[in-house]
Amino acid sequence: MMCQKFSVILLHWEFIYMITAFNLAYPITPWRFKLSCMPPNTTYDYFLPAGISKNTSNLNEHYEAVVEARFNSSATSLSNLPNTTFHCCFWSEQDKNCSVHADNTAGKTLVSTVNSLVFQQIGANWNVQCWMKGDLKLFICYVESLVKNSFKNYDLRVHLLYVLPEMLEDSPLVPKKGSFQIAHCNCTGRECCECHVPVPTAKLSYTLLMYLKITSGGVIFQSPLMSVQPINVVKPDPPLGLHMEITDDGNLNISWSRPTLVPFQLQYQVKYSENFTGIMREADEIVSSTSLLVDSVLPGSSYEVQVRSKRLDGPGIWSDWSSPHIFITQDVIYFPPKILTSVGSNVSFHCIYKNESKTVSSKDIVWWMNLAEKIPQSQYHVVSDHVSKVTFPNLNATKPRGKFTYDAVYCCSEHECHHRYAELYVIDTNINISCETDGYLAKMTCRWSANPVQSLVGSTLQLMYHRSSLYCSDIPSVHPMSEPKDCHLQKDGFYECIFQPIFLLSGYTMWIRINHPLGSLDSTPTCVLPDSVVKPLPPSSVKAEITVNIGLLKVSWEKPAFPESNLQFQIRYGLSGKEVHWKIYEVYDAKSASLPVPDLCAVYAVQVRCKRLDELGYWSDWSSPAYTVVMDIKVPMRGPEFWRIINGDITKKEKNVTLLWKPLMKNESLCSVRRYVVNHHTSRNGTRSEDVGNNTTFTFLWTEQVHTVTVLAINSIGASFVNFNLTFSWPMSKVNIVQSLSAYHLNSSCVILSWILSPSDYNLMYFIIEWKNLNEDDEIKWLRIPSSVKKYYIHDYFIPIEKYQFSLYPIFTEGVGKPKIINSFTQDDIEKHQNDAGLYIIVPIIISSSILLLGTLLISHQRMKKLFWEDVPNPKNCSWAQGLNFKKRTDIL
Amino acid sequence: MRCGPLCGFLWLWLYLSYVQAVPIKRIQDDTKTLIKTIVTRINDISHMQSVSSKQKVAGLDFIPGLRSVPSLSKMDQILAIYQQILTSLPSRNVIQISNDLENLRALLHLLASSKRCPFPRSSGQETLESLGGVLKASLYSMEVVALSRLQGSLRDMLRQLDLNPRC
Repeated sequence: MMCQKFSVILLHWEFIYMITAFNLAYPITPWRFKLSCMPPNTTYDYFLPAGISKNTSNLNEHYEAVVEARFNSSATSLSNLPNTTFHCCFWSEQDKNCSVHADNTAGKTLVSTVNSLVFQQIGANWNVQCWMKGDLKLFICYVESLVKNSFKNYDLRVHLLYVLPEMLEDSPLVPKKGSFQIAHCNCTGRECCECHVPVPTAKLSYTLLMYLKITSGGVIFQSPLMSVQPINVVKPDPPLGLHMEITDDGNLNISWSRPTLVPFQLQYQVKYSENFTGIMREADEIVSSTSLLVDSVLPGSSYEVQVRSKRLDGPGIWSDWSSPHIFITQDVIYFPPKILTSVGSNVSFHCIYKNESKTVSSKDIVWWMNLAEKIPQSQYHVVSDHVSKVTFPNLNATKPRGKFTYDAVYCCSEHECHHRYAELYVIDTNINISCETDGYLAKMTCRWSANPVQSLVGSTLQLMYHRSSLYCSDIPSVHPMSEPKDCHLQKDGFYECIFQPIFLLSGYTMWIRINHPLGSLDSTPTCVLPDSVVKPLPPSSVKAEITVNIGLLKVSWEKPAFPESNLQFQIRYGLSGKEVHWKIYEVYDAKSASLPVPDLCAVYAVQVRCKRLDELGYWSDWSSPAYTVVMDIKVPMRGPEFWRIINGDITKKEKNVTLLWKPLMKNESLCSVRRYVVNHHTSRNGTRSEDVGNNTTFTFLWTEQVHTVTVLAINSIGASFVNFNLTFSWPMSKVNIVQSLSAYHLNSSCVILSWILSPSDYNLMYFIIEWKNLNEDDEIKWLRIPSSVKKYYIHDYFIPIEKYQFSLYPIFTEGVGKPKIINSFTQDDIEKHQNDAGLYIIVPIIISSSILLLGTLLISHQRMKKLFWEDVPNPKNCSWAQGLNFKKRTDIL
Repeated sequence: MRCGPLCGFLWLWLYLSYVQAVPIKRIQDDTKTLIKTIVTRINDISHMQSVSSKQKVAGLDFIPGLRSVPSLSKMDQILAIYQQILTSLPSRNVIQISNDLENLRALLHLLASSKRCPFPRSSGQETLESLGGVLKASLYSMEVVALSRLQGSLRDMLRQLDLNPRC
């Protein structure tokens, strides 16, 4: 029986051993647990409190038999057991049952579960904390003596022995004794030790096996085997960068940064307290994001906040709390405290105002702008008891006042404003972008000016654009997929941005992004199609000429290679000179144009420019000027006007006649005269011509009774068709039709000549007026005037004291008639004119004198009347007249 | 797999919305004008003016020849190849032409969409495989031949566009 019993016990032992081996180490799932040890041969149930039986063991009854030891020593007596091996177990606040691993004499390990209270009262107890450090490199176990520790007065030495397998699969169930490594442990006095186990990042999921060997008071305590996967006990570093601010909505935003290197998502615990005029409010919240909104923030309050983190999914350890962060709200809270907006928008500010430890009612809050003007009450809104709101509709751009580029908005009580204010930045975002594609259709230059926008001080501007595949949309909008474009400030204050190469038919939607310290604003986007903003190259090979015989200004040119679409052209032309007065002529889709010009013999400057016929794009620059060349266009319009001087004795039959004429002007000669030809016609010799070259005088001998001469002007085109004739006829030279001739000297530059004709049967063609200064040997001067004229103003330089001779020659078809000659100005008439002039002066003088005289007489008359009647007594002053009414008829009278 | 028809529908919808917005006459005119512009651009390249059209160049068979292309999709395929070739050329002259080709292809897509033509987007990727070796050794030949043939193809397309080409 005994043998059988022994065999059964042995079997049980083997079974327990197996269980121990496979149940293996204490799994560190709670990261904070306790290690308790007691000497062997202690009867555990001796200490068991009422209600807790030894049957709570999770092992069998056989085990209970093995561990029946009595432990009746005190803590002091424990220290007298230097060579005793203590039995140790782990327990935690969650599981207070302690699993004791005891070696029996056969070297087998036995496990029993005992209530931890037993150990707390008489054993050696330590707090153990194990975790993986936040940097994921170091596994730390911290051992600390419990208050109820019999050995707490002894020096503490701790060794952590561990095994970290090479491969994940290699995790041994029971590691060999020699395979343990000793970790470095630092002990501080008798209280605590910290052991460090380096863990490679790749082995964070491996199972770390370890046990503690604690030496204190000469006693060695060896913990049971522990096992842990370091990744499951990661204790992150506390969150960083704790920050608090009031949001635009008036909430308190608590934010922090996530600790680095943690390979999993974290949850955060936030604890904060609010102190408002001595009233405390505390809260504790767990969130998965790195911020927490606390509503109903109060002015003049202090908020103290701490945060800690822990793995969100899966096991993990809370980090330490971050350092407390304190945030004190101001007595007046604006939310938002600053607003950046564009012209024309509507914005609102909210405010909570605490004045002398009392929050001002929102109904009593008034708003001021720049401490200069009270904002009309119609713009206020009561949001809640303490929150007031002011709205600014359709805002205008902020005008910088000195260095202040914002408007200061004040939230005030009736008679007092807090010195704090909200800032309102209104920026004019109406920035016009204009683009121009070059004549090669390869480059688009866009320009925009920031000068007019004063409120942009402190901002940077950037052109953003988005290119669509084809064309522009009807309503351009800011596209999320946009690119910045480099633009360079030019001397004229414009920014210039160049797109090269370009997509001719792609829509470039552009806008200016105004980057302000408070944020960014976008100007109204505009879309440009490079093909629609082409400025062509100017037309080339521009030629200008006055066409021969036709007499038009003909301009020809070559259109630029681009664009391929139809073009319209503008021609500007004008007389070449310092200041050209241009005239514009337009043609469509042509290569040349002929246009009438007033002066065919002048040099014209001509330029041409072009633009798309559909009016898209810009006019090109003007081409280089082309000039016409003056050349003969037609035959001279007429021959020159000419006159004659007859030399020698007029009574003789043969006379030398000198013809003289004025050279033709360009507009008459069209455009030059190469030579003059004098045609003679006499009855005897018929017609003959004499070439006189460029001379303007020609002398011939007049021998026959009638001699007709004609002077022709000849240019490269031919001879003039319309010419003047002059017939020299002896009989006609005696025909006198001019009855009288008078010359009136008007002034030094003008003389009036008038004449009276007698009736005649001859065909009068015109008159020749001839005049000369008789006192000097001046050449005679002459003029041809029409036959219908009876009076003529001669403009010349006339000196009144000089003597002039005026002659009027009637020119008939039949010949030159007898002239009327006078040698001086008509004196009578001059005097008469002078008398007339005297009359004009004297008559007004006489009239005014008469008026003056009449006035004098009237005044004198009044004075005389006064003088003579001064001594006549007033009857009212006489005694006899007292009581009489002179206005009434009485019997006395 | 489900993205194919959806993307196709979206593509068609995008183009149809374009077609509705832009008059078809304008698209046709712009297409022709752009073709003429590219032809003129090639003419303006200095070294293209002296190239003899009589002398044939061997070994560049992957560059499309002067064959008549009566369909819009074929035009797009050819232009895609030319675009790939031009993009691979380092010469600055051809970058603008390559951009023009992209616009031209987009216009052809719009034209095709207006006719309700199925229009697969061509990539010309297969041509690039042949380019590598030739590019290093015969850069000048490549550019001259590609631009000459492109010019010829564009002139042909201009004629075909007047004849109302097929899908």
